[in-house]
Amino acid sequence: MRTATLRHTHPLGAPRTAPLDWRVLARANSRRNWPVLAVVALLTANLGLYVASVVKEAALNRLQLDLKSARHENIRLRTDLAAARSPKAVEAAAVARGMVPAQDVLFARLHEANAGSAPAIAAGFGAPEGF
Amino acid sequence: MSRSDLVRSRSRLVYGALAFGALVLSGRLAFIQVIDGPRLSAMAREQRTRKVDLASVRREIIDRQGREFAVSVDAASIYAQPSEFEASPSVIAQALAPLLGTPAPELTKDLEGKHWRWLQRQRPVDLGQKIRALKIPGIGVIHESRRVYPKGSLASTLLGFVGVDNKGLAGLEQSYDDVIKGKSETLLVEVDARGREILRESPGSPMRSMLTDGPRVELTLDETIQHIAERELARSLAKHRARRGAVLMMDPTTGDMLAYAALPSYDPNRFREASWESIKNWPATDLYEPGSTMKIFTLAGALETGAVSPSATFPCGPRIQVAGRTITDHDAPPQIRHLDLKQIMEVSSNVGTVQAGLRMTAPAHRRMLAGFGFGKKTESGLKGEAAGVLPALPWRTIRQATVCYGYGITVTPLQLLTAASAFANDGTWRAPRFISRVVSQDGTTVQEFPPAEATRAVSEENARAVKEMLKQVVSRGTGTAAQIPGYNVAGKTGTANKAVEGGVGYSRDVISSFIGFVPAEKPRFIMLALLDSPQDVHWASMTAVPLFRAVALDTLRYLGVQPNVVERD
Repeated sequence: MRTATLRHTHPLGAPRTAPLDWRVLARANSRRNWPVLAVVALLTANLGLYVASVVKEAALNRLQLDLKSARHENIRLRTDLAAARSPKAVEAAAVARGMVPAQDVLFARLHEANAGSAPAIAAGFGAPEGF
Repeated sequence: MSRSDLVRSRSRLVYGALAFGALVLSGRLAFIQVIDGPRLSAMAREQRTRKVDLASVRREIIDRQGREFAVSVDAASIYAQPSEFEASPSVIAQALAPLLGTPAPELTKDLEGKHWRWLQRQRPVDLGQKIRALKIPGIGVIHESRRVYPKGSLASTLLGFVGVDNKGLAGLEQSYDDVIKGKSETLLVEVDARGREILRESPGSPMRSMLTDGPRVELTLDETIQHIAERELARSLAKHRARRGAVLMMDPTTGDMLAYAALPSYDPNRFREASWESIKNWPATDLYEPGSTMKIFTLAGALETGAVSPSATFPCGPRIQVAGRTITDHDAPPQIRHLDLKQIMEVSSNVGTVQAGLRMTAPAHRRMLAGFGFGKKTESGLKGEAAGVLPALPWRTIRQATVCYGYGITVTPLQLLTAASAFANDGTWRAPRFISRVVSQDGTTVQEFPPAEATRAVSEENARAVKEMLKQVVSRGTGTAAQIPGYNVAGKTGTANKAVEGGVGYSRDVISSFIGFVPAEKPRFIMLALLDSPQDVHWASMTAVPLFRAVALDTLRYLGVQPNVVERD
């Protein structure tokens, strides 16, 4: 590589290097050093692709972790909900609030004027039976 | 050649060599990636992956309304690999003991030795994370799946449970293991240099998440009806101090089991603490002599074979001699009564039933009973189901006579229910169905379990005739305690002495049962209520019948079945 150095006399007597003229370098590269550019471009592209794939993979892993966590939480909540909504739990909660089962259920019959309903009867015991 | 020209030419040489090398590398890369890629990928995949059986996570079990009976949740299992220990077992035990809840000395013993072993299995995921955070060499955590039954003991006798290896060990979990564990699938998981599964052990493993989204197994049971049945059965057991009891309910048109309550039961989440007696699915496995409920089939058979006409009457005294043996009626008046078939059923007369039954030839009688499914399994699919004993021919007269009123023949409660469903379904019965389908999360049917083929046991006409007899049992006879205002109920009581276990003869204990359906005209369900060894009171009319009524009343309300018998004030 051409460095285009100029030698000057330093105030202390030591030589010093003049600053690089990048335009000269670029010109020189464009004309004579295209293989260097090709190598640098290839390596840069490889590095870029690698970094991109690592970033994407990290994002994917994060998403999978979130997904798993959310689904685990979903199952846990559904299990808790199922237990809380079980008939036994609901009935216990109702009883605790002073509710009692309905003694009679009336069914409305819209088109039968003469329809009636029967109150619940006390169940009497039948006659004992033979074997 | 000047010095600068020399430098320039050498530089070109070097750059050219580098460029050539880069081109060669790129070409090689392209060859590896494009041309040789598939082969190398396969080799790499083979080396770093392992096939894992995905069937280890079981499908959820839901009721007919989609409510969960059993779910699978993530769990952590902790293992020890002593060869990788960098500290003594006692030091490791000290660190683990507070988390595992095991005393350190006991844990130290578990950690001694050289071989790989489980320390604890299927513990909460949080615990696994805490143990992993300790980073103790030789102590690892593996993610597994654990079965949870959110409803506790509800329907546990039927549901059963699974072991730590996720294999069904009892009930439906065992009987339908292939359906519940699902289609066997495999997943490729990454393994490390030592062949350990990276994904499975990784907290970020997507594997479990994928599995828990699988299809669900839908039962025919209804959670609410099941609860009603268990609640009333528990009350009845306590009231009558019975040894055990069952309430089985079926939709007679499809064979769908709506409730399958058997008590005492157990909590399948803690099945290790349960006794075998409470785990056993005895309504399908245990045999008993049905007693008077068998009279339904005797009179139906007599009608179906033409041995008796619907209007036939029989002179019935308090006792009858058959082949030198005396058969009696309980609480019968001393004088002769002329009873028709309805009245025989109404008062549950042994004498009348024997007279009608003996009009059949023994082979015809046996053929009729076999037609109802007695003597063979119901094809319910339940493991360990008993076939019952329908004695082989030839029958002596006394044998046939006792079979008429339910002795000398054994059945399971499930079998009796299935057979009697013929009278609620115009003479045909279907095998009980427990699983209706397998559905995906969005409700799409994955696998269908259609109702079994209907088997005709008696003609429609004779089924209707028997139904009328059963209605009379409830309206005037031994089953009046089953009356429900607004509905016609049909049913039959049975109070059968229990045979002495391992001995000869009968004990004082009885099995009280009532089998009935409602509304009688178009039954929504048929139910068997059964109490084993009730104390103080033996009669089914005072034990099993009130139990039937309590369950039926609440079930009719729950199902919203409108009364069809209008009673005016």
